[in-house]
Amino acid sequence: MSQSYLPAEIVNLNPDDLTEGYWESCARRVLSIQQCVQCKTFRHLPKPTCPNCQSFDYEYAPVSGKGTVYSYTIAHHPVHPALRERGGTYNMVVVKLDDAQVKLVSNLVGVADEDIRIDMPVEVVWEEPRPGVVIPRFRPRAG
Amino acid sequence: MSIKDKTAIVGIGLTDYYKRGQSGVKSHLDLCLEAILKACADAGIHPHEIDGFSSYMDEMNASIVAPALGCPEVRFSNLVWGGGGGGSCAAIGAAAAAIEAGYCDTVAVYHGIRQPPGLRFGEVFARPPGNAGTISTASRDFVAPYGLMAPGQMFALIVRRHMHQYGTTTDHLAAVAMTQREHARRNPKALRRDPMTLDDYYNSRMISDPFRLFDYCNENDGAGAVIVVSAERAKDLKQKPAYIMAVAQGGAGGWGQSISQQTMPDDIYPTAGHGQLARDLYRMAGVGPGDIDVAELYDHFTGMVLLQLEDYGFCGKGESGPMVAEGAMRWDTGKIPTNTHGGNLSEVYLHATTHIVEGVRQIRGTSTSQVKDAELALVTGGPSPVPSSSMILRG
Repeated sequence: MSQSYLPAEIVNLNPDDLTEGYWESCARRVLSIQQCVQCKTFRHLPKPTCPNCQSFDYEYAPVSGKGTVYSYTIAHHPVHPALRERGGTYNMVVVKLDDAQVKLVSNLVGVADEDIRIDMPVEVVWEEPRPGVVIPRFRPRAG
Repeated sequence: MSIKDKTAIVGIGLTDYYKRGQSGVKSHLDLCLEAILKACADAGIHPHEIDGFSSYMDEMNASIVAPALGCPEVRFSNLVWGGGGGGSCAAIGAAAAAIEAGYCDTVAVYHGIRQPPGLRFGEVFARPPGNAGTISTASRDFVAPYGLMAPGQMFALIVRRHMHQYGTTTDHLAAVAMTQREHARRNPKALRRDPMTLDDYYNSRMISDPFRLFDYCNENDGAGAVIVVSAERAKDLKQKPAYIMAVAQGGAGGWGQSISQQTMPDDIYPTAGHGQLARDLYRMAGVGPGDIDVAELYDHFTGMVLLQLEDYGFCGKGESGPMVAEGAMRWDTGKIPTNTHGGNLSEVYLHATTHIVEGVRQIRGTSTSQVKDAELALVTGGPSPVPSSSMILRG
């Protein structure tokens, strides 16, 4: 049974050469972040070159999936038809990952809108809005 | 070598203001041409004198505009990268630099908006892949599945973080909206002129927490244009010149496309991304924030006005909310009168054209909320993907 915080209609992945490693890792339910092979600097969004040492060599390196909420907003007025049809509100969060120290946009599941706080510890959960399409979301964890 | 004081804005032109999608038979080109012709008339020059064309986020390039105006020669053309109103002052700066460098003599800087039915900026990332104005689909994969599809949502995230770090409140956001509405009520051309009380603000519907409807700008159709010439030539024209004292453009490299992806580094996340622009601008002008008489700050959202007040040094980091709540933005008694036309929030949303024009009006002494003896006006383009931009006009 597919399960997703937000409707599958808004999940239309179009990986390219640069991003396919991220999504392949997600399909295995492992969160991996682009990392420079030479100087080990993590980066997100994916880029061809390392902002630190300009090397073109990179890999998608597994991370713990633990982080904290850096910021959040609650959408009361969705702009996509599928989200309007879903009704209600939904949250969007910026998660700062503990080990890679990069920021990811995602949603929090398992928490009411009004209980979301900045600096709240979170961890990755995997959702499969449609068969074979796996995306990371986050849920609160004990600090 | 610098462009400081070498050129001036000598003509301003704005079309009528239309609700989004309601400019009727007027095309985007019609609107741009109308604004340019009005600016020429204001300056007292013939349109055929225009030999330079500069714009930002606008497909109406010189190959389309010059023949329509009958301009005999195109000697300079320029389009600034970036989104929304970010590149507005950079387009002015390019005009000033081109004149100073000897490329051309008379530059029209213009920008128009005419949104096709069914498409609007507020839904820019909800459009199907491949439509004009969307970011690359592979990049969008990192935000769209999470419902992050609207500029208001993106800036709400930034402002929420500012609230967390500094204690900024929605009362402070309301103060921005209410002050600008008061200014709009003094401006007969403004589209939103009903009084706004604090209750009105809180009764406006929540869109993207903490932003309510009244934290959002309008979406409109129309166009604006200005004419830039050398300072020497400006002295012989009809209007009091608004000298271009300094221009800065760009932003932190790490800001990049960050607005849509929220990947800004921590040190600049809860800002408008204008810190380095302010530094460069004041350095070129040889003035500081205390010297600025009036500020026309790009206001797609209330909170970003607060963050710009901080970036430009009118107060310390985190101090903008209380400062504005105490009346700092007011045209008559404020410490730094801001958005005296009513801004994008209450006058009209034509990206940054109206902020440029209002800056010039303040220098001329013709604003509907005229700051007494205004000598220096700060004008900014929108916090946006790099480049954004800003300038100081001098009387």
